[in-house]
Amino acid sequence: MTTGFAICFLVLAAVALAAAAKMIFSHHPVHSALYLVLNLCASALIYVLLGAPFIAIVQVAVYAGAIMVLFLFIIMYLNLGLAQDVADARSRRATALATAGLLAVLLLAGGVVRWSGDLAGRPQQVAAGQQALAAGQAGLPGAPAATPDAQAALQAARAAAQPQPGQAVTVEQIGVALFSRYALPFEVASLLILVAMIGALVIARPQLQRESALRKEVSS
Amino acid sequence: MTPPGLTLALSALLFGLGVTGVLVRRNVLVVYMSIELMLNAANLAFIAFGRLHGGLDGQLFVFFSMVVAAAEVAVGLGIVVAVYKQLHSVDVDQLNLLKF
Repeated sequence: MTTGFAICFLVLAAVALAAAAKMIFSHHPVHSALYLVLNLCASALIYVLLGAPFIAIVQVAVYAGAIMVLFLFIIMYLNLGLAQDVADARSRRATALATAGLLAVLLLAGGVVRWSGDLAGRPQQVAAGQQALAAGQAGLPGAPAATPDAQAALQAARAAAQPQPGQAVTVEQIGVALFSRYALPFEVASLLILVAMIGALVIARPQLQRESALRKEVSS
Repeated sequence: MTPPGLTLALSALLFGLGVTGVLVRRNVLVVYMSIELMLNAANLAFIAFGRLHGGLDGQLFVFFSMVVAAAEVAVGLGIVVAVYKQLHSVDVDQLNLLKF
């Protein structure tokens, strides 16, 4: 890890944490939404640092763009003024911070202690595991006997298709994976979005004709 | 290569802030945004582990979790609008119809 990388990461992490804290304790819902946008943009830049440029673009376009615009639209549609709950949030703050702090400490203990140690041998382990897997697959009963040349070509192709630990993932690799190995989840996801769209329309639609007719009957 | 511990620490802290927001705030929209914050923290952990192990799976999981989050926001905000039409409030303490 170079120094420049570390400085970028720490600055972005500080921005993300500060924006998250401001989001929680802002009085106006619009301010909360804008601070969340800042937080999402900072995490998108962190994704770039971590070698995930595609996810970073999706984060900005879908999360910071579409989802947060939807949030702002609803806030303005409902014409919400200053939130009344921040003042009485102060009385709850101690308990809530204690609970959330305990949770964060547990997560830190579980994650950081386990993964911040010496990871120098890790890529070799992963590579060895992948080789063993490829060898096992090549030796499956019933598989056509592959010539050593073909096996080597297959392994080289696999190695090219799979990014190695610590390497950035290109958009091309993600696209190929989405339409080959992950084709079924991809289609199911599109179905999920369709169902959610119809569901949102049904839930938020104006009152039913039937209900208003009923109300007229009751009042007359 | 980044130490994943650093990214995981950021992820844990963001998740903790999201939990704080859900516990502290009563405005349902801010509670909702806090839930989004927690989802995002989980995504960050996915990316960190994906980078540690190599391969695409971590990033594809993040992609699908973003799809689910988008669907969830559409339905959830629809529910918020429906609740506001009934109660003229977005305070979660007002949603006590199931309580004795």
